[in-house]
Amino acid sequence: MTSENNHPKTDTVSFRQCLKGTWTDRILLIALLVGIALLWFQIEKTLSHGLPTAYVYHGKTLLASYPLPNDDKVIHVAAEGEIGVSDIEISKHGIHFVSSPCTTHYCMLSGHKKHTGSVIACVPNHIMVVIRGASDEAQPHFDAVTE
Amino acid sequence: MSENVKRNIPPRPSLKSLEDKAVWLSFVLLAIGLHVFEATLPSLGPWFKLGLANIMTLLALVMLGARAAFMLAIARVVIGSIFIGTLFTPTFFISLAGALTAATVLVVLYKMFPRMSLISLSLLAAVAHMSGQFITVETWFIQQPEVYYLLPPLLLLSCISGWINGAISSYIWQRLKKERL
Repeated sequence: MTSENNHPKTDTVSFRQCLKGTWTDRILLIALLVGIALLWFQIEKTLSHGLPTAYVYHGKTLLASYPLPNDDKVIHVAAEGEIGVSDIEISKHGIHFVSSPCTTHYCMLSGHKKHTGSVIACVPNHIMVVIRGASDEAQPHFDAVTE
Repeated sequence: MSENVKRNIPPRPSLKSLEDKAVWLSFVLLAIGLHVFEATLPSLGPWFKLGLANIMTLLALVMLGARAAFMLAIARVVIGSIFIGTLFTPTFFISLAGALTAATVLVVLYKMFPRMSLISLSLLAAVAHMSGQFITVETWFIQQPEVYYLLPPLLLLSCISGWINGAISSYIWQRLKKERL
């Protein structure tokens, strides 16, 4: 008699089994991943034309737009938001929140963003900086467009 | 019985309803604990959390029903944010919107497809949670559609966390079913 026969057969479910999921789960996951990849591709396609330019918004208002400098020039934008002034740095390293009046500081923790389509948002202060290819109305030959 | 009616004493609740209330309350406490625990963890990135508290919402859905799951999602966010200190801040409203969207999707899917697995439910709820948060941010706070540029990578992370949370819920649920038998 083997040791297996000595013990009653238990059908305990291991976590590893649960983690594998069913075929329906896997098909659903693949469908979601394909959808996300398509969305990502569409966004990249929309943004990847023109000179990379940083746009600073407060709500619906465009506060400033600057082409990302290629040299060592560092531009500081003092963006007045709902709860105070956010200091945004624009340099060859990309966009970066230097200081912010919010408490979470997620915007500052985002670090430098350089690639087209990158977004840093300070939700409590309603300030957002986005890098996208310059559109016609942004007039990229100007150093800055402010309102 | 007639004595109780005379004295205007309400009838005693059944043992089952008391047990359900006790289970719901323990789930709420666990969900709040997980909510607060997650807030203390180092963030994997801005705007992203593992959503461990959703495990309790999923379990409440399969064990206690749609209403209990929905109430748990609201109670968890409101009481949890009191402990974290974010009540009525933008973080609170974004969190509440995400939790409500996820709970609604969970309840609707569970009613429509009762045999859907917990992993599938969790996956779709995680995606709904993230989407709900972004819609709230875009509508109330940032008001720029460019904010959706952040969505695809975060949806990707949501799928991973949704799958893991679903697997954990499934494991706990199967163990609990065995214990009850």
